[in-house]
Amino acid sequence: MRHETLLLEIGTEELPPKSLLALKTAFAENLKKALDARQFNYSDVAAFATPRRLAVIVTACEDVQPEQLIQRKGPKLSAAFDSDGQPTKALNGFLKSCGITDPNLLEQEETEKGAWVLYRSTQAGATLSSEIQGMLIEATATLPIAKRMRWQRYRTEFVRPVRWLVALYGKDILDCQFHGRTAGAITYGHRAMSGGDPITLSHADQYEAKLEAGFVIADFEKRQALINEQLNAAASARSAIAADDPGLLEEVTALTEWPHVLSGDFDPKFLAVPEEALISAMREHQRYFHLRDAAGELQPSFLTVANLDSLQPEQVIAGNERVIRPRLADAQFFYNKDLQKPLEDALGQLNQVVFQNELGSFGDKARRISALAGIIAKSLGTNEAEAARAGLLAKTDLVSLMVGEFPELQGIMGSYYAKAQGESSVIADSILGHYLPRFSGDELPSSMTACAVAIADRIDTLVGLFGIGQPPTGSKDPFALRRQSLAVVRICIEAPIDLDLMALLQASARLHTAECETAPVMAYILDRFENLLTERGAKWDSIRAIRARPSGIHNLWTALQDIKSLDRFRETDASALVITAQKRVQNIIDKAEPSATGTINPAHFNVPVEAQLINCITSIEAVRTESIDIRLANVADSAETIDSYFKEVMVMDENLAIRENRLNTLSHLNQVLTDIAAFNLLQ
Amino acid sequence: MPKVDTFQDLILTLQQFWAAKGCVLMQPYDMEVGAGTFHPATFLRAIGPERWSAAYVQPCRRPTDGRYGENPNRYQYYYQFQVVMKPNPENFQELYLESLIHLGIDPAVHDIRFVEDNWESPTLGAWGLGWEVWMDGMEISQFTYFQQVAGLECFPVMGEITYGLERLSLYLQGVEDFQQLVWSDNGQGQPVSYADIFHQYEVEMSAFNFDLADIDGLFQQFDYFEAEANRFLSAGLPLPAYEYVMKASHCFNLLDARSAISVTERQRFILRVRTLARGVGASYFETRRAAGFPLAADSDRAFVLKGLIDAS
Repeated sequence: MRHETLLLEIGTEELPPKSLLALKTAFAENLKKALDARQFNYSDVAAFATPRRLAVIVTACEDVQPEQLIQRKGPKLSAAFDSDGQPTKALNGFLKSCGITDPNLLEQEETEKGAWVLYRSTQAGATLSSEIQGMLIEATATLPIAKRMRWQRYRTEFVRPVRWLVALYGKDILDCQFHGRTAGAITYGHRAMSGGDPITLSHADQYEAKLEAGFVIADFEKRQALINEQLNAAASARSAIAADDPGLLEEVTALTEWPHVLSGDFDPKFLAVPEEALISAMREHQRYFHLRDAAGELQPSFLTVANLDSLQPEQVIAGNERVIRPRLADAQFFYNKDLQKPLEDALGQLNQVVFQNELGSFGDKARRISALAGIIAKSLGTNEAEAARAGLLAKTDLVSLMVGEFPELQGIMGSYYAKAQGESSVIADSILGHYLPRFSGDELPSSMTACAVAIADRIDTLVGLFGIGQPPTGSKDPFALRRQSLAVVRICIEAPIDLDLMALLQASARLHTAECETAPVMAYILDRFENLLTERGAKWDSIRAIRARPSGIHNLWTALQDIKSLDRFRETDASALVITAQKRVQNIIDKAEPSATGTINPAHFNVPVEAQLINCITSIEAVRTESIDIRLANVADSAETIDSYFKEVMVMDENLAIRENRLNTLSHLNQVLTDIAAFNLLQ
Repeated sequence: MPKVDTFQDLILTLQQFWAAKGCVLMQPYDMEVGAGTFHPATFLRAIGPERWSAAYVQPCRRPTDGRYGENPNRYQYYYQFQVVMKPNPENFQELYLESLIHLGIDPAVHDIRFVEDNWESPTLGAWGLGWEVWMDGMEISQFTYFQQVAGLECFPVMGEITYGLERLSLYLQGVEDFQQLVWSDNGQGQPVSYADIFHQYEVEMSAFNFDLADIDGLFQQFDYFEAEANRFLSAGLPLPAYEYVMKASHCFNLLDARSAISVTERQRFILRVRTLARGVGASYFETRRAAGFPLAADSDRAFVLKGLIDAS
């Protein structure tokens, strides 16, 4: 048995940078699974990836599987030997199939159904070289490839054309093939810097070092750290700070084999364009990192990550400076053109842009958002007209040239354009803020007006899509309704805003031309509410107890206060009595026949606690419109009476009148309790 | 190494280079197209099993890209140099890099990269996977392996390289603006610049594209070209039909520049052109099959014919 390094490298044409990390990880994980399934032991698995290769190194890998135990079941013992003790035809057949002749090599297995003939043997384990082909297929079959392709006249598909294959075990080449390539010991270095000549590996352990000599850093993380270091150094050299952009860093790492950070300048006149647009132009088009000075001001310069250590870096810099100029000129052109377009014209253009076939244009949507935002503002006591105006303008930048070019600037540009045309800063900020929160953990809109628009936009989408029968399913949520609901929940409970969501959903439904039912939307939002609170450590059953009140939840903010109060109540001694009692009450009511009258007649009381309980019910009812804390305090005060009632009173009395009277009492108690919370749902 | 000082040197050098690699040197198609891909030497030859390698210059019109000659590198009329090879040679990327070296570009000096950019043409019912080629951050070429054209699977795969001649020239000539490019220089002190040839054209055509092209007339033309293309398809003549598809496509581009097509209508127009393009593709495939796919390798022809039998 040997313990050597196993190296697999698939050489390709340039791989898609945004999936390179996922490909790297999946290739290594899949190979690991294939080794484990075959019981090849090893000490460690390391994954490598550059634009032109995916590789895995397995250290101290065994080259032979453990001996395999083979166990074969033969005929029933009774059918194995004839009356003379001679092997039957059946047994001879079995012996032959096992490749033996001597019946003494057989064993017996006793089971409940009788004894059976058994043959046990061992077989030498398979070798790495015989298994490598199968493992390579398994390791590559399920890679996360968005679009597979064909090339030349091959019929097979892979992420990009395969150009070479390395399969080494120590010094030995393992025999395998991949997309028409036969494994060898030859890899290739950097296209330009190593001259494209083949690099021969005489041992798998040489992989990283030989590639590095060929100007390729095969280790993704090492390359990423190197770029980060160079970015910071280049920024410091200009007394500036480089953009902290992990997504971009990952992408440039996936685009380079021998990274080299260079810095260039652009004409400061472009700084008149909103910085978000400049940053988008640099990032999206050129993969540049922008720079800021210590005060946070954007600098007229950039960092780019070249894929070579150029003989004349000034030429690479000059080239990049030449490219960014027209890009920024375009941004400036878009900005100036957009500024000239009156917002009213943009509103008109929105009528031409489809939001959703059955739900009309973005113009229609803007008018609905406006109406809803007004309603919300009114109920929050903030400026109604301003919210309605902000809602109307919220989508106007969708028809701007800048957002057409850089969709990620939606909201941001609208805010600039509104401000430039004399809209109030609250309106401008709301156009920007109504997209918040964009993701879990993102910030919330900053003003009540922005919150109103943010909620109006999302409620309109939710009610509309549910209304036309397109609620999200487990796998399909093209309008991101899940995220939009979560945004509504977060704004309601974190901003916070005191809003009757149910009434708002109904108002939204009336604004749609389609028939929209609101109950499923409310239920969907409440499910998100429940999940979010549970994730944050709230007691699941407290939420359910509040949600299960006959009046349900209409207002997330007050519901959250109720849940918190209920949680506090649950820490009191009285709560256990109340919870147990209401469970009993619910049980009895569920089993009993529905009462004919429903009235309670004190004439039928014959135990003192019965009247006391009525007093409790009355006092709980008396504070019905008070805060939940006061109501719960009354419940707590009644806890002992309720508990005594069950100890002293036999509800299912033989006397029908008494029994009904008691059932009516409990039914009434149940009503006043569940009006506060469904205590019976608490654990 | 040839001397590549002028725009026309660039064209001549690329032609020499790719002719030596076995490409048929074609001439530009004499109709308005948005990209070299529309030339039948690419679009139609990508269909079916027949071998084909060609190289040609193609002037392209993209009405919405007009900037009245004011943007340094965005014009509504510009030149592409197109190379197609089917099946793509195994070392297609290396051949491309070799062509750059041939133009005097030193890959040890310039940062040349293949950056993922998958190509899709909704109007042609076509898509492929490949890259933009960047040199020092500027896109100088497109590199694509066609997977599907006119809704038909490409087998063998055609590889396509499209050089952006003006952008490449900016580097070769070390200037900042298309206008400054030298088109030709006879060495007698009278160089002819890109601006000398095209500036007035850019200005006037930008005005035409954005402000003057007749919207009603273009809509009528679109309908007419569509109807005619269908008539030729019914007559089993994919080549004239295709010319009318190109005319319809250009009408659409002009209407787009005039902002005459709303977002919803846009999809419908694209679908109308695609339907025509698919019809042309199917008809062209059929006429080539009827001719016995004369340019195909035997094994490829047999494979495709067997696929047809299995499918029926």
